[in-house]
Amino acid sequence: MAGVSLKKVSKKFGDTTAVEDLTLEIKDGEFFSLLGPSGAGKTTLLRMIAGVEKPDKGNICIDDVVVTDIPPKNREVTMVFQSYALFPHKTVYENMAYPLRKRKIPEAEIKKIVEETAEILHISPLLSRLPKQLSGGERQRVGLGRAMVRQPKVCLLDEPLTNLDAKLRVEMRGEFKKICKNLQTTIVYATPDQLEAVTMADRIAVLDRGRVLQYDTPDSLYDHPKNLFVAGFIGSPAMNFIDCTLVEKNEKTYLDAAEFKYEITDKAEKIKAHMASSDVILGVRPEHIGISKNMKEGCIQLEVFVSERVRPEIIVDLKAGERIIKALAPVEFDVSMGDKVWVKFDKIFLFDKRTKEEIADKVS
Amino acid sequence: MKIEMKTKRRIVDSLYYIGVIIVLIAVLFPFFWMVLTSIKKELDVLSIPPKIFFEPTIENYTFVFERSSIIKGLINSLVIVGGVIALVIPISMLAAYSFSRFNVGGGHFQFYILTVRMFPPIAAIVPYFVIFRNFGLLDNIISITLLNALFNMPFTIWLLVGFLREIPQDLEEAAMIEGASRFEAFREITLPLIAPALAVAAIFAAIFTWNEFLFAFILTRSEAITVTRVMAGFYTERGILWGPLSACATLCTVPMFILALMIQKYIVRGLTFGAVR
Repeated sequence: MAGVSLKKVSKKFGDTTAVEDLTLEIKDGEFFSLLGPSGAGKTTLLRMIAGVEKPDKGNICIDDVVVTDIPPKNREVTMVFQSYALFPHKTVYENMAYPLRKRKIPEAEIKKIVEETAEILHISPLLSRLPKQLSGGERQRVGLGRAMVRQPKVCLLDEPLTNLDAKLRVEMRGEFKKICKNLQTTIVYATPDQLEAVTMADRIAVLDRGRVLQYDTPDSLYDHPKNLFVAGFIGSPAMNFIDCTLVEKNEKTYLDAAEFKYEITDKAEKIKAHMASSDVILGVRPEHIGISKNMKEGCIQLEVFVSERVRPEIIVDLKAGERIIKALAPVEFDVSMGDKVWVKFDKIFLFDKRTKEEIADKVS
Repeated sequence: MKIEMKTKRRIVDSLYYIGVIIVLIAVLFPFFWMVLTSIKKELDVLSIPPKIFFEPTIENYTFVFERSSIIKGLINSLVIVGGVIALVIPISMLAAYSFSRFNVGGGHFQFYILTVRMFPPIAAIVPYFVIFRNFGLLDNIISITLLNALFNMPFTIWLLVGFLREIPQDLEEAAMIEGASRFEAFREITLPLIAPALAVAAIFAAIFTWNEFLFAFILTRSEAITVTRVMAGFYTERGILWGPLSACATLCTVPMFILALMIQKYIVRGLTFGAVR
């Protein structure tokens, strides 16, 4: 077990910047997730920690030792590739034995460790097969097995579940978490799927275009996103964003979105004090929208555009002018296209339109 | 309906086989004629119309063995081929590896090497003759081996770069993370995977070298004489000795034929490398 820290790390490939001035602290024994869309620099980051890619600038420390110039084989790090990178000419057994062979461990012990690991991963019957004779899920387990046979300081996982089909992915997610906890090592897990990150990780770093936008626990990211990108990336269905201007009328503060006006009741003064301009983006999570068929105080009226029944809930698409606002409602809530409903926002986020930063968070 | 499908299938199949047979005849007929000529008597060789039934003879073969340096030529050619493979394969393999993994020379160096292949050897033969004469390398088996190695290398490098690009770098990187140095990763992971490609490269180099005529014709005389040079000896001032020439050609085809049969499995695997994975 060891912590990993990256200090002002940059990496360029030709003219494209993969990672830019990135600083990150991964704690000892933590399940840490790198979350971001493809091209965010997740894989480059993992490869730099593993040592197969050298940063242009900055330092990488494992266990408080600067490893920037240490070759991968001496870093005591392991990595599961997105492609699994199983050696095609070696059997499953030989694939898993490879790291042990490289460490000159006696044959009898290798046999014992490989067989035990295969037992845990339920791949014992496959040991004599070649990788091409395995299914995607089986290959994935072998890839994980090869990483598990020794006790690395850090285990890097590069989108290990991305190449699996949807059902297997959900199945493996739970199993993966269990296995990783038993490994008792620091885990860095790159994924483009926020659900994977949120369900498995202790902490998540949200990456976009080579920068860390925020890193925190899944709950904090959900409750206090610092900017528009994080807010939109965490949570499913994604947060609704509505362009608004802040207006004052009769000593009340409203958000004016052209199609509707929404009154801000609390913290209005503080919000105003932190605003650079009156152009803001209103963010509301679908699960924070209360829909009702009856008119209520402080509610706004919208039209139902379409509704999807994804039991146990339904996703209602509401039409506000040209804009669609998604809301979650219990499945009993029976609406059809064209119905008028009354909507109340239980929790809102406000973002500066120019900087894309969250405003209200600075207030509280 | 079912029967119709079956008939259609049969027609397509027979057309396919007819095509294959035509191609095979076109390819194999000269070979067949060569073998046939080699066992004909001098008078039968040139008779018009060609004789289909004739009394076979081995006099051409005895002539070849007794009156030409075929044994020496065969030994020399085998030594040259062996030397070329021993030089070309390791060097091209390492060159191709660095081109495919580190992009050495940013593509320019690789192109420069490939231009050697585009270069017509006949344009270089005069300078080479002068250089070899001045260094006392004429009719020398080492110099002819080096020259063949040089002219074979661009093709094998180009071939191996293609194969190496097919092998994901992830594999080597995985090996390196799991405890191998780069060289170990190359030796233990990449090398076994490109073995079929190396076999293909080796057989190409062998065939090109075995068939090489121009350098042998100009730069060898008696000591370093090759099979192709021996064959040229049957073009005499008294005319072309068709019978012995065919016998000699048949004898020269045999080693390559055996080689091709031996590593046929690798060639097929090597040529379909990208497709099977």
